[in-house]
Amino acid sequence: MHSAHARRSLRLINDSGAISAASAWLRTLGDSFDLGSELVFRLDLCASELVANIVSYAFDDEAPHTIALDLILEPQSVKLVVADDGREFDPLELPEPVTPATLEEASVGGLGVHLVRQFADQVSYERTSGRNQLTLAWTRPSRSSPSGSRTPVRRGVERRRRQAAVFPLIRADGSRVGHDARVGGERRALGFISRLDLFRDVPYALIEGLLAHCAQRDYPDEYVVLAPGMQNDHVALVLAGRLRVYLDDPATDGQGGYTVIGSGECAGELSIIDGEPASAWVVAEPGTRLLLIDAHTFFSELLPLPQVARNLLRLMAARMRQANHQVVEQVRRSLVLERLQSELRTAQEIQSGMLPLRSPMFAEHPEIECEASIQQAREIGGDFFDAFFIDENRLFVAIGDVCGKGMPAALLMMRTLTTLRAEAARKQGQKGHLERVMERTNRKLALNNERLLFASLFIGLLDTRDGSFRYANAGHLRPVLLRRGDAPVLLKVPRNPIAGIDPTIDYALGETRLGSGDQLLLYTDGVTEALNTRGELFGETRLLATLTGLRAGAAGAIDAVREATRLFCDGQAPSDDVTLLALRYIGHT
Amino acid sequence: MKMDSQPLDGGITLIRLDGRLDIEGAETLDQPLTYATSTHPARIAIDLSAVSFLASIGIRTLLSAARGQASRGGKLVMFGAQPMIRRVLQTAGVDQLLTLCDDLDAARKALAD
Repeated sequence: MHSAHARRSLRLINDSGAISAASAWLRTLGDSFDLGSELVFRLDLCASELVANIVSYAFDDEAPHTIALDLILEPQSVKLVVADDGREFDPLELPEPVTPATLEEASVGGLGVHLVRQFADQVSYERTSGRNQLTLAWTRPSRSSPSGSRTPVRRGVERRRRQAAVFPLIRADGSRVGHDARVGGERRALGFISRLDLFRDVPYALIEGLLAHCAQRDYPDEYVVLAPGMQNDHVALVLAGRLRVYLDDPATDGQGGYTVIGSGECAGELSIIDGEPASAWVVAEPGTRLLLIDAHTFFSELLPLPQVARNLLRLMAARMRQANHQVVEQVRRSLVLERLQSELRTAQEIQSGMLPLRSPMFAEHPEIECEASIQQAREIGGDFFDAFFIDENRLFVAIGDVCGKGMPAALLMMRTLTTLRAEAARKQGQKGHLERVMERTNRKLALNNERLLFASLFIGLLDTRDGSFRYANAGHLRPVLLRRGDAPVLLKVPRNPIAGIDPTIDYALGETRLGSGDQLLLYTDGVTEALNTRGELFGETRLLATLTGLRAGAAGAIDAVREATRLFCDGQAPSDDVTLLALRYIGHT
Repeated sequence: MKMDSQPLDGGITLIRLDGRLDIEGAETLDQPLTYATSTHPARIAIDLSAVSFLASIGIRTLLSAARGQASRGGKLVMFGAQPMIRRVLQTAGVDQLLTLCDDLDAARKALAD
């Protein structure tokens, strides 16, 4: 590789390891850019001396400091810029050392700076904003120049082997230093970094110093690292744990799902690259540890490394594919949801369509008034009612409520209703018909009822010739009986369990006789369990009070109860279906 | 940094240094070289031909070896330094303090004086 223009940077912490790291870095670059052994020697010597000086003398405190090395290659020249934020020191002002006259007098104090001045072609010093910056320059050897001068020094094979092995190092006592265990708060054992995807194929020596001064941070579980709109100025590298990325607010528990950023991957690079605020929610999972690389370091020092740039593109390509996949999945899911919702709406329409919602219900039967009303809750519910003449004179009425909500309730409700209709419409003798309707319906619901869905049910049969009313109740609320001139009361009903559980139940019947103008009001628990804003139930007492002294007919009774519950709930939408069926006996006049 | 020594005829000890005389090389060499050069009077020739790098800290190592032997009353010379190493020694001004010879023969002669 021989590039006319290039710039490489290394950031080191001011400890003794920095000297070797700087040296190894320069030798690697020297090989890469074919700078020739003599120039590499000079670079190596100058960097070693300068870094050694900085480490030993520049800082008065114990805190870690960054030493910045930048190698700038131009067609004709090579520059090495060494900068630190230590105490002001201009090596050019140092007097030339006096050559010692004897071996005993010889010392090496100040020798390093002297060597630097002699082994660099040009040296310039600058003190700006609290930083020492020393720039060394050399003439760059041309490529075609004979390499004769470098042959004696070049020990290429050995050197290449050595430079790769910054670690392990051999200590003076011969023991091995397997990893960088330098002390100091900022010193990181970052050897594993080179295993991360972003740094694949990147020589560890090149990034070691750079990453050593980036902050590492542990995050509590579910910590929101980034949120949409948040300004982000770091690339976060996942060292341990995982990050979850949500496009929707995770708190809303949306359907959007999330993607995962695992160990070795990074987050935040998109907003760093386009400078826009973060666009997604990034949430930490337990045990998440991130390395935060600030934007400046990322752009000026990491991205220029070709391997890093390639790895980043690779990561982003993978991220993009994953995002595409996520979007497709989300669209698919929302289509499924849309279809389900549309099916539910259809189910609700079919359900409502099965109920005899007309007023008046039996215009051709002036001997009775029958009115019904159902106010369905937002969710598909399980209330139902029915009223039809099974023959010329007998009116069958039913009201019920199947347990649960949604699709299962709707299906059970339809099953109950169709079973009731089929059973009620059977040709039967006069006696025992109603018992059989209830018992057969119960048995049919109870059989194959693996999900133990059940229904409360009140059915009755009114003989319009004499007003006799026979009825059966399966766990439903007692209807209100309004006898003309009397206070409303709850109808006496035989106690029987709800339908759909035990197929063997014999249902007892109740019987009464309605006089002209007497009225029955059937209702579901949506009425009595209507809640007001104070959390109170409407209840049977209020229901009876509402109907007290009522002179109106069936339609009026329903309107009165609906109005009373509406006022009681103060405009709140009902949480359950509210169903009413009023039956008033007029009789033949 | 590697170091080995072998006796040569004429009571001369040959010490061969191989590697970089940078901070790590100097640390590695510190004890063995001091032991080899500064504990008893001897005539020592140090072969620098395999030393590929020399920084000021390495100069100190070489100087202390020479000084140590001088204090024992023996003699220590060096030979075979590569051009850049010689240049560092010259630049540092210690080439006159150390006896730098071109090759082993010159070193033998210098030790025989």
